[in-house]
Amino acid sequence: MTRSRGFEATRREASNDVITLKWYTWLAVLLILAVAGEALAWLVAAQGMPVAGGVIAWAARVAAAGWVGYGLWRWREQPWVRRTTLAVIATVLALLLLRLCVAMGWHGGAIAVAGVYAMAAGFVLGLLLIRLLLSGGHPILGVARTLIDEAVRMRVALVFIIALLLALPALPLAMDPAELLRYRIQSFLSWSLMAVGALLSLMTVFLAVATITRELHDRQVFLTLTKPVARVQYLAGKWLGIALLNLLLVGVCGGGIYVFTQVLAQQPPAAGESATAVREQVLAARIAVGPRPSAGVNLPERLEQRLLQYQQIQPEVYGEPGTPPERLPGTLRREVERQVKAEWMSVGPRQTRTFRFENVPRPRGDQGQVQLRLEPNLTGASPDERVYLEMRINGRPYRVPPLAEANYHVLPIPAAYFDEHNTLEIAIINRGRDPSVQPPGVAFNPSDGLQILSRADSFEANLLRGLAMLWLRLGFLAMLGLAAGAFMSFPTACLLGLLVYIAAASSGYLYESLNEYAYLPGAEQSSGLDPITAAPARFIERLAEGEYGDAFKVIVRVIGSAFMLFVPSFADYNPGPLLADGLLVSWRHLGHAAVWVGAVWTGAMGVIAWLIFRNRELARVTV
Amino acid sequence: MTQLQADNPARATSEDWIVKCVGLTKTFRDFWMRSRVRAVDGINLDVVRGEVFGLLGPNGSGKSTTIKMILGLLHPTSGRIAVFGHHPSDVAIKRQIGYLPEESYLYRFLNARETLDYYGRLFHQPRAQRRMRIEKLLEMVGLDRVATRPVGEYSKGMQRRIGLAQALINDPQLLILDEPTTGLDPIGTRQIKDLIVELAGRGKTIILCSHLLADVEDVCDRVSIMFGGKVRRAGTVDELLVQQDHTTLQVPSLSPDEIEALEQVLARHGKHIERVERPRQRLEQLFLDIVHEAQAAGLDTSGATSGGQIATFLTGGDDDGDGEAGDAIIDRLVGGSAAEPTTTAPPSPPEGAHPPAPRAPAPDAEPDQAVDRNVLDSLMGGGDDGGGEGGGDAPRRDGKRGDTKR
Repeated sequence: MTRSRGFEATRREASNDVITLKWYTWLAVLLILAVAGEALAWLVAAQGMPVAGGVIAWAARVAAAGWVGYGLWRWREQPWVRRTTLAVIATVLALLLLRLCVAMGWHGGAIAVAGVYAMAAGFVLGLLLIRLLLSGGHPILGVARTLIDEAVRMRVALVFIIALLLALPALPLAMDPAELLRYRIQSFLSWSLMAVGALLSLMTVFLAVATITRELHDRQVFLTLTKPVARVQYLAGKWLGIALLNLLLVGVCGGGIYVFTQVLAQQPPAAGESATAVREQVLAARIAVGPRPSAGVNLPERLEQRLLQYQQIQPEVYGEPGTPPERLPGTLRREVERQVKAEWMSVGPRQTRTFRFENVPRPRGDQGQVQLRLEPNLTGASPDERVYLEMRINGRPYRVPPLAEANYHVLPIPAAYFDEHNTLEIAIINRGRDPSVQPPGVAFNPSDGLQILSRADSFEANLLRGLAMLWLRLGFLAMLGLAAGAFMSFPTACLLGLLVYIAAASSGYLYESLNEYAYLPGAEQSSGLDPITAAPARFIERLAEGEYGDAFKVIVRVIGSAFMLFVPSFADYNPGPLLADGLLVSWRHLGHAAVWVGAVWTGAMGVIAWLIFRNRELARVTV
Repeated sequence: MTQLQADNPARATSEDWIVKCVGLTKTFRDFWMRSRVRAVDGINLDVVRGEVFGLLGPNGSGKSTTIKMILGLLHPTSGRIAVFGHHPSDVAIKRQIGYLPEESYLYRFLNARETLDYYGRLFHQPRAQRRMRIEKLLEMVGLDRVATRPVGEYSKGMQRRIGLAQALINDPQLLILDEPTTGLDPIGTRQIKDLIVELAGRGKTIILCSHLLADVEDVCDRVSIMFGGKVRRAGTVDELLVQQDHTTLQVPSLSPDEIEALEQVLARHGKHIERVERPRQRLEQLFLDIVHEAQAAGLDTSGATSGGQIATFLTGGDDDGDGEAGDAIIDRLVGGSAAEPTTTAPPSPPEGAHPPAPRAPAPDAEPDQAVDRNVLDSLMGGGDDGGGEGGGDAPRRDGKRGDTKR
């Protein structure tokens, strides 16, 4: 007994020098040195001894710096001391850099330094909060928390996190100050959201794949799954950890984007540009209402007439004359519809075209207004590349300034122009600059070349919804990475994850390309099962006609379409362009993303991951 | 469970089986699904409650594969396994299992405390209980001073120690140790063996998988010797090792005349002395004595310390206990840690005698050890382990069993 107590005493004495000093004691000393030194210096200087005050202040700073260094060296094994010391050093460095930038008059640099510091601090505090949230004694929480630790302590995710925290504050510096302010803001929004989306997507895929393949390879999973942890809980914990990390990063980056957007918006607008207009057109969330034909214009009838023309010329493609439009392949019908609509949305020389906008949200108050957004394209030559139009809105004349060709313009329409049905009937007259000279025709893009925009929500709420949509996409990628990692090696799983991500991000373009590559009559839609069900007939037909190259293309099309069945269409849930154009990311749109991307696609991928992981043997042959 | 049942599993009831394997076979197939290797070939294994079961065999004999099937990490090709009466994939039974794999499979980026905290969470342990157990285990395995260093920076021996601690975080009823002493210095090896004996004495069931025969011989009740995926021999250590046709007498040192006289006496009974030799001290004991002396001289080390008392929650003590019971038994449990060197270790028996007694925690037993045992027994008192994960219904092993065998 005596011997054992003696031994214990020896052990405890030996370790006393390490554990006696608590982190808060050390921090208290540091704060006292810093605050008391500055206060004393101020008091001395206030007594008319500025030199002595300066000496005291610097002596206190040197002592504080020495104490920080001592803490780092002596108690580096104490996590709290180490973290606090690093935080203090980072703060001091940031302050010094900030001061240097201000002294040099480089305000952009100062903003960037402050941004990096604020985002990094937000990230660290957020991490502490997440770790606190995950501190419960449950396997899912335990796995999730360890994944968070893995992400910030291993290189895979940390590289992306640091790149993001550095790149975002640097983006405003890359904006050309000579550009129109609204273009600068739009560019920043567009680039920053693209950078956040791309970097976080890559990080998510790499992290999800790495965490599971590494644990299988290095066999940490042996220990975890011989504890009372169901395999589905293991996967759920991994996903939860990645989802929470993404939530934090999206939040921190979203905060950075918002702050830097506001900083940019404070800059003086370019000559002839209104700061109010910038706020109304960019830092807004607007609903777009497209035009409808006015009374007397029957677009379906025009479509039938146009089809009849084509059927008479090419019956093998468009069917026999008289074949109704609904019996044509969807892609063909949509193409003819687009042509007819494009013709309707063009105004010939000295012609008038009336566009009807129905159910436009009426602006609040008499001072309220909506915006007419138009992009006029000339169909012929113009000496000054400008478009001269006249307008009448609900019968009242509206003055239109000369418009630069092939540029977007926004014209305010006051509430006074509205009728009682909230309809705006806009007649566009193409008279030209000089009545004696015939002007070229003017055409508007059928998709978004002519729209009424009405403010529906604030920029802040819109940004939040956009970021939430981005987070939902990342959730799918996380589950995809886990599913791939559950049965593939790291490089193969990463390759698959990236392939799906790129396909999902460019899904619209891919569908169009596949359609162009191998046209399949009878495929109503470019996506879904239509191309696969329509392929066999087309394949046999091409073979029968001896068109072996075309038959091969059909096979490629089927493979591509089959792959795209497993890829969600991220193009439909991309908030970047909407936010950059000040268009509304609606709750309905977000809900749609939550159901399809968040629940259906992520859930389906989760089930696949579980089915793979549930039955696989975790150990390997070792005989 | 009784000692008799542990010695003779054939007489154990079905309720006493902790692990039961029947016709267990594992065949590994290649890409074309052709049988490539038959790692385990129709073995039958029974591990009963409260025994230390040794699984012996050379490399590649199928021991680790068997262990992994018991743990649910591999699926048997044929045959059946029941662990606590359930399929190995049943998550609920894993609350009662502790597993130390043959290598360190720990997260390199976590430190020792975080590592134990992580595994504690997996058992749904509340924060206060986790904290208490972590501190006690760290102290027990001698890593309390380096608990904030990442595990990736640990030496192999230190990783084995933290690995052992994680296996004990849930106070398991079944402890599966795969090559537990690999990479450990003799002090650590001795500690683990003492720990096994102590835990078995408290009613835990232990499966020890090793090719270090001396370790197995020291602590196991029964062993199965595997080769080529089959069990070649099985039985209690005594059954397998005792030479029934020889007797060894250990007496104080004899002169040549006395030996001659003894020879004459034996000759009258038709026997003769085959070999006369002086018993040698075991190298392990010599090594431990030297280390004790160095520690007593105050020499420091940058690695793991020798470890402290066995965590009270493992020996049936209260989770909130202050460790007084451990103070009482520390000398016996960690003889290598004592400030004063042990100098009264009895010599080991000569070759051909009975093997060193299993369940004898340390050969340097002294009279005051009995007091320690009493203190420990009174603390354990046959009571239930309130903080245990696996329930406390396991019968307590008689702590004197080892002495009896000795």
